[in-house]
Amino acid sequence: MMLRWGRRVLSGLGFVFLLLLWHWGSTRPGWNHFLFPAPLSVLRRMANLLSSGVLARHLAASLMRVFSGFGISVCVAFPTGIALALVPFFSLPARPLLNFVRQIPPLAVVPLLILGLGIGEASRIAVVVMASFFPILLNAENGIKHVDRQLLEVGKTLSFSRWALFRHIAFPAFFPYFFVGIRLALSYSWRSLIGAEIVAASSGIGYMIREAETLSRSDTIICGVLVLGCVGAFSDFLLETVSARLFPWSRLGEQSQGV
Amino acid sequence: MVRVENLTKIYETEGGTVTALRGVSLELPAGSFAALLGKSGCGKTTLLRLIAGLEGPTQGEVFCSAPRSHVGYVFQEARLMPWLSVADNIRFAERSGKKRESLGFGDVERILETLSLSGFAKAFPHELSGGMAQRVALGRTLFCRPRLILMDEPFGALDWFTRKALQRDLLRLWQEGGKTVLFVTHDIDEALLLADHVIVMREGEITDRFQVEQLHPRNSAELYSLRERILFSIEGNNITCN
Repeated sequence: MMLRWGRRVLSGLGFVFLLLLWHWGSTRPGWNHFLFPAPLSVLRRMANLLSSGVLARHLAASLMRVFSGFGISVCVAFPTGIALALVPFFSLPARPLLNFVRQIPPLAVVPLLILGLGIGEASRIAVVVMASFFPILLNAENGIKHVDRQLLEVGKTLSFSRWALFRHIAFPAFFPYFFVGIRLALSYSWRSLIGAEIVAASSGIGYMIREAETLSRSDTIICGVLVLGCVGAFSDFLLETVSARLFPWSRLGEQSQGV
Repeated sequence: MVRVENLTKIYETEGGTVTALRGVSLELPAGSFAALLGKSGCGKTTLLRLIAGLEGPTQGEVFCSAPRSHVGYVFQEARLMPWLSVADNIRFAERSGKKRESLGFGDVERILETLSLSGFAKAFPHELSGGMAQRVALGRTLFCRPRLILMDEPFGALDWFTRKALQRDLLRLWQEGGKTVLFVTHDIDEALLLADHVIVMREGEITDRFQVEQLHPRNSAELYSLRERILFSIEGNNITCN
């Protein structure tokens, strides 16, 4: 117990150090308060944004886009990844095409998406789909490919049917990989969405940051950045906790495969 | 119980072909305990895998009087499902998706008790020692009420104490009757302690068979001369027996 609390305190030291450094720097002569306001000014601005409901409104808009796009990605990438791993007739023509699309940064197609889908929600959700699709797809494919052959042999010696082999051995063995894809995809969704919101949106954290830039409110920009960091870190922590509960034997979460 | 006729297995590799088995013939009567003994790479595991149906032979045939669902296989590694508890691993065969022909399944509680695992029913594989995990693997096989148990060096990776305890467990289970055991090992003492037949393999062929007459529990001193003969057989004619 002591060790666990000790680790928690130690892992928070980096933040404390950065905060103290920031505060110390802001009291020095020559510090650029216009570009980088003092921590207390940012805190005051954050309280203001919270009490006025502005932050909640923008955050809700961003979350709605992330989870819509992310949900679509899970529904499409999961079966596609399994098909890539198991159906050569599909994977042979599809893999080069998917590899090509994977190299395109989602933000590069924002103008095309706006032309095609308009300036509404659809184009922003499409950006999230593009960003989150490939981590899920590749980890689903990897998961199926890396199912332990030795465990499948156990099923064969117990006279398992093909369906039972998939359902009771391949699928549970694959799930930790899939979950790694989910974690990566959620993180990538945030990054790409904010880019899309900065380029073209009238709500969301990205829009709030862009609007603050035009009004030269660097304290609001820093508030936006901090909120993004907090939401990202919290969602990753949540997924890591769920993963540790669901797959206590798996250490995959510690060696996530990026794309 | 099991008859193997002229079994040959050739593997195609990048460097050419490797003949793992050369025309092996073997017959195991019901209720016997046979040990397949030989150096690494002599074809013991390949023969076991062909009998279990995990691989097909290049030539020859395997006949088994027990239905496939009553042939148990214990691997060298425990190979437990990491997401299932000990009790669920033992009853894993229930999920096969196939109906049992005749004998049904064993009683999990009894198997746990027999294998000294009663307090660990809810534990997960990553919480077990190597010996306990191998006990669970044996329990998973026993749950199917096997008539034939194929064992591929099941105690090879265990420490001496755990190994002895599991050998005693296995012997007791076999002595209860109704089971034929084919046990792969490269340990002559283990073969002599457990089996009533010792089959020696060398370079993909069965070169010798020995009957072990002594009753259990066996005295290693009484088996000394048989041990030397088996050792001589495994090494071919390249060693001198003292």
